Amino acid sequence: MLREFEIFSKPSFPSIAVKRGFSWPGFFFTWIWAFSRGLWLHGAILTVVGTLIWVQDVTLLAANPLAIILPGLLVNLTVGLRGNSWRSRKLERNGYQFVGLVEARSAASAVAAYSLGKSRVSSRAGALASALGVPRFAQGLFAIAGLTWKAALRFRLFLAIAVLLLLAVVGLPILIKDDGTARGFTQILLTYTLSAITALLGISTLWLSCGTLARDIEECQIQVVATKPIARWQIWIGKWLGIIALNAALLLLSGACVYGLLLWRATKLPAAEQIILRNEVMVARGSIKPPDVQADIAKVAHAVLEDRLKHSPVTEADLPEVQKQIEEQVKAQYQVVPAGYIKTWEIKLESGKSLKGEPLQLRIKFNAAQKPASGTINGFWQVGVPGKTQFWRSEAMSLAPDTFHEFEVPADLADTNNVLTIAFANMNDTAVLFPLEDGMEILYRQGSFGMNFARGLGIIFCWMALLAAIGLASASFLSFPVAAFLSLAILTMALSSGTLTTVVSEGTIDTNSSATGNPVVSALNVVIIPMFRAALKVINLARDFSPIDSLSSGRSISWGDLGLAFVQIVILLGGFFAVFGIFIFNRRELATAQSQ
Amino acid sequence: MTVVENRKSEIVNPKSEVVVSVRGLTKVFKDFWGRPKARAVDNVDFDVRRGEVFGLLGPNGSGKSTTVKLLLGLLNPTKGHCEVFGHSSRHVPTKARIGYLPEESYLYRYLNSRETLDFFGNLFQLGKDLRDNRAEQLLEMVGLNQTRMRSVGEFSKGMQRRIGLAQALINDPDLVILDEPTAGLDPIGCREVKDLILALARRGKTVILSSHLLSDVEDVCDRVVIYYGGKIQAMGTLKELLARPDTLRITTPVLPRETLERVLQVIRHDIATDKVRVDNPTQNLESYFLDVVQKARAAQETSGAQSGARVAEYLRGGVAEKPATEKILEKLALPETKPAAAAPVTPAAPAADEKKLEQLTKASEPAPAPANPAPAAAKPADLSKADEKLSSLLGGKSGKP
Repeated sequence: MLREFEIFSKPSFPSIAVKRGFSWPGFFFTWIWAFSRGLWLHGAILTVVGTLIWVQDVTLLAANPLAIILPGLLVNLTVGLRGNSWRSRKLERNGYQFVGLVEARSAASAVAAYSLGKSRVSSRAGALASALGVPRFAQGLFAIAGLTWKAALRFRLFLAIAVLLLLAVVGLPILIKDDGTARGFTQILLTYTLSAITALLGISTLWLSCGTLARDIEECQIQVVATKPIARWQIWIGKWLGIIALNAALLLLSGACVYGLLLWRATKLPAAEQIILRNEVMVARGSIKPPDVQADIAKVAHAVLEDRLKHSPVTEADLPEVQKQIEEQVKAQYQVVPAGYIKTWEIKLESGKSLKGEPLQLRIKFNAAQKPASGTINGFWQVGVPGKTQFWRSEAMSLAPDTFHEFEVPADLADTNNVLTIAFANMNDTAVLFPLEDGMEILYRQGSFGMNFARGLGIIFCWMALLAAIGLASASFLSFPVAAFLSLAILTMALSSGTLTTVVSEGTIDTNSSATGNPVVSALNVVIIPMFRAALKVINLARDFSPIDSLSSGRSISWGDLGLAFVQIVILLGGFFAVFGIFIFNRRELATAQSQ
Repeated sequence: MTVVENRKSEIVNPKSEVVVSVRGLTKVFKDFWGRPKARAVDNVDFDVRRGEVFGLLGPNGSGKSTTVKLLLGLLNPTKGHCEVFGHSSRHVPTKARIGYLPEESYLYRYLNSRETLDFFGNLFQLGKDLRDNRAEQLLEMVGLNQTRMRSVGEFSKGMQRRIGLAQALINDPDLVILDEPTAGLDPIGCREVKDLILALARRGKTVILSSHLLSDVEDVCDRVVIYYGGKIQAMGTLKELLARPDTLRITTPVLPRETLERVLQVIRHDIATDKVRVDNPTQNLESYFLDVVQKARAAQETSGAQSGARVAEYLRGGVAEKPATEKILEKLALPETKPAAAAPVTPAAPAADEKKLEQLTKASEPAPAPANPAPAAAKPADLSKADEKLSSLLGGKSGKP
């Protein structure tokens, strides 16, 4: 591949060729590359910066893999983008003069070609501009992305969305008054505003992404663009980059407003609520749950079923229903605490070392078999084992069923194996049931709210990137209104996946018959259930993440979660739509439309 | 000999590099169900060589623009293939050598003219200084340097054509494809575009010009194809197409009447009097074009527009109107501009000949007008100016991305 080289010459010295644009050796070898090119000052600075990053990585950010990678990556990118221009400037400082440009495969052949007179002269201004960083191959891509920005700004779309977002952020907390509690405050300032931001940005992203490509095709501008030396995939990706950059700016703006407002409004809460807010919301808390017992349940249920079949055989048609009921019974046994009984949980604190001296929060939720007259359930809680570890025992607690409760327990109650034993004594006349999914959870302080908030926004950003890919993929083969309709339909289907979940969990599309315990096993079920199951799996790749819930309950969104969200939402799902969209766009005839 | 004649005399060497090669090119537009809807281009073959100004002529809907879009890879051929610079028309790097002006202004309305050129320059991966330099010069060339900050959407149609032309030239293309380049331009703009085409050709650039404006084509093209119903009805150099091989023209300076009489006497010795005519035998392109289209219409259907559509009755106020073609043919049938026919047309009577000869003799004081006087006389100065502009703008090959 031919690359462009700047030729520098100095009397009585051999000419030197410096590649224009991105320096891959600089990107990979940073300070080593700088020293090898005689850039002593740059090399020294890079060495110091590299060492600082390394120290920081080891000591502070060991738990966050992305935080380790990002600063290093930024340094590498800077050297890659600017390295060659550093070299050019150094040569000029050393008395070399820029004499022209040569296209060649290597620096040596560039110098040879120059000596044969095969150069063309261009000004240094261009060389400097080129060295500012946009690699030649990506110049068109960035031009397309920039065009999307210009369109959004000139049509005042950016302004309109920004105003709407700010209205949502500032207006919602004014319109909807909180109840003065930390929880109510959080609900309105985090849950409502972030949900509104997500919804607004989501719709505008779909609209913009459908419009930017479909209208270019309908209004024929694409006919001029596609006749230039830019591949169609670059046009597609350029538009996608433009939209997600727009989203990033809008998300940053509205996110910063939410964050500032949250900090400011929090000072107006009563002191006691401020403490709750600090401990339960404005924090990034890690979560530990009891070990998963689904495998045990399945095993026990299987044994029970075998036993049952030996005594009273059931028909083939009834077998799935019987199996399901047995599973439910076994599951209930794992969850239930009968009246007057005690249930214990033994939870291994994985990151016990960092939890030394840290108070923990228990987050619990239970259901009652019968609604108590008082409306609350009484019980005692004990954490730790008397005689074996330090322990804490609660006063009699009276808590409402069907909702989450959090209370703090002292630090260092785990045993030597880092296992924390929690016991609940049911002091009521009715049985109490702790759901396996979210009945018991231990929360511990893991990091600051600011970074957690940023990571939460990061996941929302991943959703926007996916929506942009969906919009562009639709616009790759449909007209603007139809593409917008299809994209919205896909979004609605993904958001209302409750029906899919019900059908898949009940194993039939005839949900009425399941109530009677006699499901209709039709040919339709055979086809539709696997389809729904597959669709659910795909949808859940994006829906598995709930940054807004996590933020409003002070849960930590780890770098791992963000990385996973990026891989599942952007790379897998977005990649699928991108490949599909680019394939269609590449094959599409772009001149069938006539301008209006 | 003028500069133009010089250029035309070097008419494209058949052995020179083939820039565009079209073989068996067919494009059938289909409906939603895949059923053929219209055969826009039908088994077309032609080559365009380096340095040629090649015209695609035809009535509306005859397949010119479809051919252009097939050449540019904006449409996929149903059958056959076309190559540009030896590559498929979808080959991306080849597009760095092509400049394209579409038939309408397909530009981004929210960009101003400066940004438009900068954007397209970026697509050609030109460095910033080169982009800036060329944009400035192109804006000056197309006369838009005073309106560089106005959005293209606010421009008149002519101004949009001008900025469209500028974007087509930002990469100093080796092949320029112009689809109706003078549509919407004022007469001065038209003249400038034609001068530009000639200047490009002189610099070894290849130009493909699609137009139904016969004067555009006649003024600048070396070779043309005439389309009707998606098929090529005629192809060749203008000289080949417009010459009448069964008629001989002797061009001399104006002769004294006695000399001319002697010459005529000698000729009449071998040829019957009614076969000799002293006049300008050149057929104009317009009549030739109409003739070709008329013949083609008689032979086949077209999916494009039909000429000769009558104006609606209520608009004519009940007055029967002859079809437009009939009017044109009537006009063409007037003695001064008789259409070409296979056999030479003889004058009505010898008396008329004598009258004409007398007129010719009287007009002997000024130099005789050449066959195509106006453009030829105007070209040297215009061309040198345009060429100067282009040379300074494009700076030889330095602009190649």
